[in-house]
Amino acid sequence: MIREERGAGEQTVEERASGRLAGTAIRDEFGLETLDMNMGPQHPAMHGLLRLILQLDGETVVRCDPVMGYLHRSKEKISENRMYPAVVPITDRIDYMNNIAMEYGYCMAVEDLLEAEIPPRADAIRALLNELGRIMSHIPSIGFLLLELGAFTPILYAFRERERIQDMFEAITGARMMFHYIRIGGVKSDLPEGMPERMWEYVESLEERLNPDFIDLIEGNEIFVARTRNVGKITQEKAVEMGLTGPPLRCTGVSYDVRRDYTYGWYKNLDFNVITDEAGDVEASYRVRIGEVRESIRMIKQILEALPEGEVMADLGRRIRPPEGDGFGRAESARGEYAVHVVSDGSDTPYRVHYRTPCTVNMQLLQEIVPGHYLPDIMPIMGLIDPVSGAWDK
Amino acid sequence: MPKLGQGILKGMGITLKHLFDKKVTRQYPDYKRPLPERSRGMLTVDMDRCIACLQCQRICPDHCISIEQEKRDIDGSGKPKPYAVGFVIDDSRCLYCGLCVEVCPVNCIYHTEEFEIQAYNRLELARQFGERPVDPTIDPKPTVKKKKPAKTAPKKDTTA
Repeated sequence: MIREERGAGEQTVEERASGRLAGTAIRDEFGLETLDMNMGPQHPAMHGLLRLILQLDGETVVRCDPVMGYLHRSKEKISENRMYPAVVPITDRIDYMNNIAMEYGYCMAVEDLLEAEIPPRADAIRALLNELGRIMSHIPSIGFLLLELGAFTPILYAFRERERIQDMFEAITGARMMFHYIRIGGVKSDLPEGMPERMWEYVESLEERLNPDFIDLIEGNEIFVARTRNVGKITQEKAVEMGLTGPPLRCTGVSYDVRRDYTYGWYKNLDFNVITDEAGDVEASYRVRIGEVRESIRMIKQILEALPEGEVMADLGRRIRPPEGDGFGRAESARGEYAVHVVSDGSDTPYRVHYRTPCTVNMQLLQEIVPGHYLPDIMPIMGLIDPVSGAWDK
Repeated sequence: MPKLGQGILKGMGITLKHLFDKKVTRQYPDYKRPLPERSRGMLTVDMDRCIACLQCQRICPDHCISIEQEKRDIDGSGKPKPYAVGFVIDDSRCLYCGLCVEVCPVNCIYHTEEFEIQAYNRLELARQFGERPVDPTIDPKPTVKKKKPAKTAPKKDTTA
């Protein structure tokens, strides 16, 4: 089935997304044949529900159009119809791999509106859990990257770690994934008894395990190197131009981290490095993530050493009704810069809430860097971006 | 680039070492790990303590709690008090946020350790606690006051 109407380059994304040409061969003006193919939305290796319309020339991708929106749940609209405290469980469901940062950003935005003072202990606990959440998100994402390259073992080790962190989170917050722990004005409750010691013990043991179970297993492997080195190369200029944040930006050598550059909460008291790498490929993004896990461990230890005493919740009254105006909060999630803009009209419910999730922005990379790569290289590039379906669709 | 074969041998060594480690997996349906104290499972209501104040119904973000209230003389003092004749929790809507538990003044609604809920019919998930059934598909009255039309549009920070 050969169509000779128009060259594939002339079609709009909408035309291609309509599926009319899916699975058909197209001949361009030079008589060269390319094949349109759908990858997803249900794909075993895909990070959620994402459909890629690929134009293939043999095994090489000529064009890649991501189609998003399969997990759109209109989080922003739902947030407008709920009272301020009741939006927090909604934010949990945006990025379901790194929920705590999502809660953190929203609460910061509302606190900005209310001009609330947060007790120091609450700030410290927030930072503590945020870093724990980063480990909980980064380690499985390394595991997923390896799984997509065909290595099955690292994902098991990664989920062993995630499971242990989830157990701790369950003891602290009451839930394994949808925590609903950070509240407007502080955190829900203090850490349970013995938790700082348990956490310390865990991060110590994780530090010991990190080398044999992850770094030795992955970095020395020639298949990993062959599949990831120089794959998905991003230049610094392009990364900045596209507005990337998080590991995809830092792996190109740009040192930008919200925790340091727009410091918030307890992070101003901490001493940490922003991990960067020069290569800007999939391997570099892996190195950045492993480095960030190490930094998170360092930060957790620093917080636990100097955990302040006192209240964990500021007294903001029974009913939260901020004055007219707008509030802004930004946090560094595991995937990049997460920002929330809340506009209030003085009532119980927000007038407008906007979530800027890093995944939506970082997904532009697919269109830019996938063309020219082989079809099997798409999955490592997805591992570089490490998007979460709930976060890019909201 | 590492030498060919070296990385694989090393990896196999690590895997072999873990073969003799203690198992980390739990055989879930046979073994159920003890849940922590704060664990948020299915909700349950102690109807003897409920004072039908409707606070849980108001705070619930997903309207999963439906209460039918009636004035009834419970303690025989001749003074009718609010009484919950119908109390339904629709688990198909509940998002386990725990706001109702926090807001309850008499601690009559609380989380259990139960988390395995499944049913063939969506209505089976609506659990009845009161004497009378309440149709859980009907949303309770909107508790959030409707916004007045804003006279002036709220200021939006264009620089953000």
